[in-house]
Amino acid sequence: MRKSDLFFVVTAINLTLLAGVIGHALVQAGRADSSLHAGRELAKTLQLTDLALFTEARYTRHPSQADRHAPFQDHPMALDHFPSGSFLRPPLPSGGL
Amino acid sequence: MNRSLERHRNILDFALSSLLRRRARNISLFVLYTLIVFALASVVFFTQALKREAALLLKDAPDIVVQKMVAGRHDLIPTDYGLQIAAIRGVKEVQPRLWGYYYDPFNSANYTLVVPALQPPAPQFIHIGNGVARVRRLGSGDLMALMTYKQETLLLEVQEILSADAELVSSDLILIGENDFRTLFDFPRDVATDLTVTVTNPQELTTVARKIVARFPDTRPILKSEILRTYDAIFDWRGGMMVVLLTAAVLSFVIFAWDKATGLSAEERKEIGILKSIGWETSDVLLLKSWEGIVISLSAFLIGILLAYAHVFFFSAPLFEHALKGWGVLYPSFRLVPAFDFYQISLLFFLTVLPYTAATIIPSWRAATIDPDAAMRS
Amino acid sequence: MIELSHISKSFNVGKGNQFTALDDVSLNIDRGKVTILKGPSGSGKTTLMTVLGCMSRPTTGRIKLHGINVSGVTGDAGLDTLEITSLPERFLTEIRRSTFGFIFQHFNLVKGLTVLENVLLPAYPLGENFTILRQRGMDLLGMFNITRHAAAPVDRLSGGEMQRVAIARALINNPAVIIADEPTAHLDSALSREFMTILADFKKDGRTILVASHDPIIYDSTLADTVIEMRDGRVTSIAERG
Repeated sequence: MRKSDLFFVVTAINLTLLAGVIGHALVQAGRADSSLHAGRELAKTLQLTDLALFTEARYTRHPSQADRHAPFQDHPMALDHFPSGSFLRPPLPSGGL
Repeated sequence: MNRSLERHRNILDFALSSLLRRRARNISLFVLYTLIVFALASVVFFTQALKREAALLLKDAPDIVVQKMVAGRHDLIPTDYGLQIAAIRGVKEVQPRLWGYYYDPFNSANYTLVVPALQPPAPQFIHIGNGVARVRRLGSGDLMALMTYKQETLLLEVQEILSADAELVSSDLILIGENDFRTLFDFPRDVATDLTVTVTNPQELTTVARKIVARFPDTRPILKSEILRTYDAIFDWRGGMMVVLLTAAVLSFVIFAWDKATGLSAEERKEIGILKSIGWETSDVLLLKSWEGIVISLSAFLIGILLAYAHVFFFSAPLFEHALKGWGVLYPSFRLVPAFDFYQISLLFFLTVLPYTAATIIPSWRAATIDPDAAMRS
Repeated sequence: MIELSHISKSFNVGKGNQFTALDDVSLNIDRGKVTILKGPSGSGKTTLMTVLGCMSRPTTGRIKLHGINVSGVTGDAGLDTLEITSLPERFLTEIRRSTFGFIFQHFNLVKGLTVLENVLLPAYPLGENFTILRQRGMDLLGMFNITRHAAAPVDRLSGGEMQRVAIARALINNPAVIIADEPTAHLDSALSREFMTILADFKKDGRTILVASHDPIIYDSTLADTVIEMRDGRVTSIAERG
């Protein structure tokens, strides 16, 4: 097999896999509602407002509820919790209208 | 048409031969390129999927959450406020919420304690999230000891472990009855952590919120739209960590392109001279260089994307886990629903493949246009 | 026949180091004959060959090709005189590719490539069917007894073998004219005589041959039909033999 043919074959395989991956994503997206059902129900029943991703501090655990002082309340010299703090935007100013 | 295809195949053959001749160098370039695409694409896949899940999971978040503020800080809210707010026109229902954080010195973990409004656990019983169960190695029927602020031990039996499917929202939760909650935290009787307000007409949200603030200037209403917006902005490229990642990737790429763009080695120049002397036109030489660029960049890009997708959606992004976990002891175990963000991936394509190919062609331009008779003299 | 009229070629025109390589050269290269260019280095032999072989343009003067098939460029089959000095680069390259085969003094083979790849290289951009092309390449290797080296990297060969690869490469596009620059400079006498035998075969095929050399084995050979002597960019004598 010529080198160029080999390259075409490999690229074709890659492109097919890519198409497969995109198809996979599209199919799964359609199923998203059902796979997230349990979580959504629980969030609704408990009236939850945040994901349980960053449990180190108040303002990282409940970023949507955090006030401006929350990041610094934990300790007078407290530095930002890293790296969670660097993933989140700063809390909205109070009186968030 | 056939001639054109054959021409491409021939020149591609030669391009591949050329790349293989400097095998070590080109393989390391390829690997590095793939790694960069892999890192950036993994981040794109992960963040887009997470954002989408947050939006879906929190779709039924409370319309308005009302917090009381003291000197700009979140304070406990009198339940009396709730009664008055319920009387405001447009408000369907007001529910006081009891929730808070418990720090477990046993393993430095933070749990979120919530008193469910509907069907709370019976006294002395709790429901715990999967993360808590994992970290404390608790099963149904086991006892958990929590320390009250009065230095007394509160023994609670685990009645139920929350569904693993819901871990993303419930990993660190402990559902507890109201009396146990108040005992644990010595929580005063007539206050709540905050209030949730349901409005009759969703379009009236802002109006109702404004009325609440007018009635109680020391409160801060948080609207559902703001809750959702918080998660829309998570993992934003402007965030600290992301900026570092992006900068590192861009920098590596610039170094790449620089290496290519600073010109050809004498050997490469001689080779182009030979090609021109045996009858290759300038356009043939440029096509050769384009193919050299495309072979590496296209392959690296495709493989990087595929690996990133597998990494994030089939293996749940183990490489990111460490960074995301940070100092948190509890980290939810979850499987993201796959999402393919065409916009960002296309952007990634144009920002990597095109510049790399250009960086391969441009330095050859001058060499490709030399008069072939120079080769006669060498 | 290739007709050169008042060809001059100067380098670095207008600059301080202006250098005239060819000075008002007029001569004819006869079709199907062997023409030798003789002269010391710096006499302009190489420049003359590059100009003649469409590798570079003369500063002044005209070059005409008579009766040499340059199909694909002329389009019109009836035209058998083509003036090439004023052609755009693309056509010039086209002519060069299909009409002229070059054998360089230092072979100019691509290191790291196999022998076969080197031989096929000039034909790559032409988009011919690869199987046919490859066969032609193998036939050429067979003609010069180097088939066994087909897959070997070209730098592993001896000087004589490399020259045969260079010759095979010059023939891949079946050119009407062969131009060789000091072909025996790196060869011993035996191999040089062998080279002359190969040239004889070319002549039998009806190809036009132009060789620049100061090797007596070449210019004293009975094969030579015309010997042109050059000095300082000018033609000093043209001797017609047999």
